Amino acid sequence: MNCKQTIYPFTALVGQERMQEALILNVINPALGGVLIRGEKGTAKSTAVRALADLFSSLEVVDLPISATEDQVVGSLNMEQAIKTGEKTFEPGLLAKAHKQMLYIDEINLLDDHLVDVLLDAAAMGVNTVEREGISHSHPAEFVLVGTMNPEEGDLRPQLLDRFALSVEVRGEQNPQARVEVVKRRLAFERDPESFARQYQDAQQSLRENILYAKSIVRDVTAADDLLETAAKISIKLEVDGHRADLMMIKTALTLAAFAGRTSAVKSDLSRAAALVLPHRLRRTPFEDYKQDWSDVEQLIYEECAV
Amino acid sequence: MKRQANYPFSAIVGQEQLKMALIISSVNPKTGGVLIVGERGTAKSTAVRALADVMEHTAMIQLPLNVTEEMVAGTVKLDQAIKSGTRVLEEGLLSKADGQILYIDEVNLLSDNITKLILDAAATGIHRVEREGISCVRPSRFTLIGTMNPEEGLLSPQISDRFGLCVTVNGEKHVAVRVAILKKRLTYEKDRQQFCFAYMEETNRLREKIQRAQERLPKVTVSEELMTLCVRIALEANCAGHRADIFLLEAAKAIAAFNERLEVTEADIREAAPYVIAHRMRERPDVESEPVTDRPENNHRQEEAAEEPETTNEREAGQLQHQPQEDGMTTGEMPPDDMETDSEEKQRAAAQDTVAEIGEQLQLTSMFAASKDRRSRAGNGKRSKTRSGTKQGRFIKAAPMPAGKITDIALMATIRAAAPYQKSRREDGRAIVITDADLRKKVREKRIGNTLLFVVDASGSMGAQQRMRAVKGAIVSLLHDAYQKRDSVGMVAFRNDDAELLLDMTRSVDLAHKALRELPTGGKTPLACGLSAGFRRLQKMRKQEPESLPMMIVVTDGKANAGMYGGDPVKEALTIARQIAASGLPSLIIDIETGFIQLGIAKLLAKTMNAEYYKLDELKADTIVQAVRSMSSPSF
Repeated sequence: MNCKQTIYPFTALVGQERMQEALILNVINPALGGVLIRGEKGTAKSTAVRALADLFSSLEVVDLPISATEDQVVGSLNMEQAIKTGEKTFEPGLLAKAHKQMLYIDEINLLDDHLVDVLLDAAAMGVNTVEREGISHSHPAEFVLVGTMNPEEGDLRPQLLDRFALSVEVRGEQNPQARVEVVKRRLAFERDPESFARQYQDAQQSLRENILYAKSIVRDVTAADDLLETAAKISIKLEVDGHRADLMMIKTALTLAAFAGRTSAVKSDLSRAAALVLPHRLRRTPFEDYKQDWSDVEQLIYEECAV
Repeated sequence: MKRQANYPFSAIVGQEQLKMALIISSVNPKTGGVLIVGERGTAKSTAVRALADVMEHTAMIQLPLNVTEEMVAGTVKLDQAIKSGTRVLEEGLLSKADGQILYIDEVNLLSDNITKLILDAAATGIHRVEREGISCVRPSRFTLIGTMNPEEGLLSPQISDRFGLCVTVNGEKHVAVRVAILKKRLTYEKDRQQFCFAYMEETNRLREKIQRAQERLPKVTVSEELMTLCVRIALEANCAGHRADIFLLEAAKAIAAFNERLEVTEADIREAAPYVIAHRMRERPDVESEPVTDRPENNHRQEEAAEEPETTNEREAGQLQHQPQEDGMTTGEMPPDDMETDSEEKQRAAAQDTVAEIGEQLQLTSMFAASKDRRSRAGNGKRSKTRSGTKQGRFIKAAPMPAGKITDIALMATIRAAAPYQKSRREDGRAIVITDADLRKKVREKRIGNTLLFVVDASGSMGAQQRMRAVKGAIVSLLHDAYQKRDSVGMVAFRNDDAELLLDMTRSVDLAHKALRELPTGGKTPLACGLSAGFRRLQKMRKQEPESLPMMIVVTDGKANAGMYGGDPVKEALTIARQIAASGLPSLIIDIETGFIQLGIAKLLAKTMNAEYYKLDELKADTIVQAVRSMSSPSF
């Protein structure tokens, strides 16, 4: 019996290019800092994440259900050991499992506050420090945070929002032809997953190779000074908090360049990076709920990047 | 045993104040630690971690947010207890932090109980252990460093006052500086070891300079005259107590020592003052309050509080002058348009939206003193009661298991309780024998307590006779209570033809305060829309978080004159009120109808909605708070 379920091939996904790109960038450069996917239900968010991880045998998707308890997330005392021998040992939690993997949180905006706190702690440092139940322990926890949320169901705390390097908005495909294609492929996949997957073998292989190549050169990609300057200017003009936006824009641009097989980032990389980095970082007042017009922002990015 | 090369202290670009504050506190631990306040992504944590690398003999003890009480306070050493049946103290973080730096990231998110433990130790320099049959005193002198983002909720003044120094950090505004920051960070991330190596010399130099300053510090002298200056500065800033004077003096000494001098100069004191004074300064109308500055309403003596509304108004007025006022009318003199007809109102609606300032908060002082008292007595009892039956929430400490059902066992605490008796119990070969009396359960704290949604009538009739001002005052008093209880609040305002969710559920009272301050009034009264919007939001909340205790607080005069579906506005409102009553959603109506002829619609609405009913005129702020509190009792 084949116990490994066949997963929908990443390359068979239709549309949602931004989301696909954002996910790929995080695989190329896990230090980038995750992606937040906002959008309605049934827009292949979860499928895409799993499909991407399936490209690499070493990559796993660790689910953090919103019903998880803090013990399950940060880890706790190993009960069995404690009862049998009276010894205190650390029972790793989801954060330990997620080390070097993708941590996937569906509906992250519904996650309990205190879980968000510990998550932020770990995401910020790449280390999970546990001080509970007689256990003092710390272990590395570097993970690619992938969260999804439906904005209608409530907002995410700004602090957590800021932790995500990238954010993308997904919407159901609007183009009727593309919609038909989505359904067709899905039906074909459900009828016979294995032969469906076989059709995409080549495409999968070439994507895999592309990503691996990009991974190998991403550390060597450089950005010229004027690119850094442009990023800084955009941040200042948009009055985003802190410096993370600049850094994320540049790092994303570098990763984009690597994915394109180049060793230096150019303005077009930056403008695409800005579109992924900025939407969730714009300053909001309680009154203007995201009303800062995105088209103005795009105009600004375009102008800054055109020079 | 460095696990990772931290970003070097000397490679941090800009943020001079932040760096200086950290240096001051490491030269002279008597300066009472540093509170770093700032928006996200401004190198707060980076700087602190970098400091730990500079300090050679001082370790950085980090207190993670997931910490449980016994880890902070210390507890029975397990193996010893099992083997020999004796109770020996296993040191807690407070003992371990003695002589070291205790670092709390996001200190404003830490559980209240634990914050209290830490502050007690910080204040006294000792730490008393009284638990599980152990009773002893341990030294616990540490430099407390905390970071916080004010967006996440504020620290109470009692807590921020404990921090000797406070710095507010902001992002750099200059392109060149930002580029420099970017470059360094990118180089660092490319090769951490190499980057740190390049800064090694500079780091060493700084380390030596700090060490020399530490040695020089005991010899640094301060003239009588300058001591007087310290006191005067503190007095002028109206700081509470004497802490500011002392911290100021110590900080100035540290600065002198760091600058290789043996005598404190006036410049040293001036340099030290912002770090010490800014977060302690109280009500100076000309100074826009800092994010952490004492919220003036919270802990004032009566006579100071009496001055309060005036200062607020002055500030308010100052801000409002910048807003375009088409008809030149200032907010203070809104016309009594109470009896105005509909059509007139409609015409003026667009042009004459006004913003009323926040009114009366006089009672807050006594009210908060009282409420705090009550809270500490009711304390966890209420919380855990509300939360019983779930395993959600942060595990903060263990408590004996109540008789009856056994759930959510705090295993380690249970074993620990059983440990001392193992020698006598061990008979049947089991490793550990646990009896019912040993069982401990987890006490969990969930920060979201109640969810208060304000549904505020912002129609033109509310703008009349400064009623909005009074309403705002009442709401603010509720907001402050909500802040302390860590409730989440939201606000729906209805006017003209629509209701708008001005502020979705948030714990940031600051945001709510801001939303309230800027709440414009004018136009018709679509009461049904408002009720329906509020109801929908809370129903969603109830689904998402079945444990939450949502409550709707409606503030209106009941004079509905705009419908939702084109029917009779009042009837529509009553229909929704019936739905709300049927759903069992707790609600409260504050009736602000005044005047000669009163229609009493709000009262009818309250009856239909099964809501508590209060008239604003008869209501003091503390009564409202009381009312809300009684409604949020666990019976709901």
